[in-house]
Amino acid sequence: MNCKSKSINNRNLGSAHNGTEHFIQQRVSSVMLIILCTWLVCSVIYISRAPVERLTSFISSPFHVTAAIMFIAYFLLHGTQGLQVVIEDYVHCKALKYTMLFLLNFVCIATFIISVVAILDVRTLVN
Amino acid sequence: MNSAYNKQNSSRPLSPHLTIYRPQITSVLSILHRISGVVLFFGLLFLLWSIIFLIYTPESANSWLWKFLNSKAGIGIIIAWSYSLFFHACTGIRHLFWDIGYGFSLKAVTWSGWLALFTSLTLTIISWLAIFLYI
Repeated sequence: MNCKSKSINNRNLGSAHNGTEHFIQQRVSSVMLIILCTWLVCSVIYISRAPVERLTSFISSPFHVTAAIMFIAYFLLHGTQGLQVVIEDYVHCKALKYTMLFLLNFVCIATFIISVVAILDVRTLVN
Repeated sequence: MNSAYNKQNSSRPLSPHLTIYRPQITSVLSILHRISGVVLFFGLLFLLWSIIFLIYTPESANSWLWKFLNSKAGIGIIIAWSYSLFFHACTGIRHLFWDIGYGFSLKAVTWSGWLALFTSLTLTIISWLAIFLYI
């Protein structure tokens, strides 16, 4: 019995040589998200059920707008990377897997850009 | 050869025999961390696109989405989302401690698991009390 597998079966199936970067990127974004989620929770408590003046001053503050955009960016980055791992773990059909990964990438970028546009539009409306 | 291998294996039971496996705090939190991550991602997409929709809809206060988000079901969804946020953050901090090499003993994984569960519940309750009691 031949115990050796044909090399053709194993080619291009092994390490993609980019797992470490993915791992480190996920940890870096998770540390950033601890800080940004603290900001999010405090801000939501601060502006929910608040008078309109507080809301407009919140929206026109450059600090809070930067924090909001950073939160969305890091959240989408971290979430996309996490969902990528989930898809790679559970979806075994190649065509479906790559379609889902493509869609995930598209949704992430599209959501980020429209969120930034919407935030800036609200800012011009308030100012 | 490859297809015969797959056919043989597809009918076999998968290794963690989930139907007869006793749930433990470690394994349950592990899968809930992953599930809460997926919930958070789709929940954020829903919330972001809702806000964007409301921003660009004229008379948005009369729209069905605004009414839904302000109904009991809508607020319930946001509270559930916030709980998954706190839960994922607490178990994520636990994962970060493991990544730098702390807390691997059986005793430590058990108490840190219960601590994460308790902290996430407490933070959710405190935050929503702050929102509902704060004027």
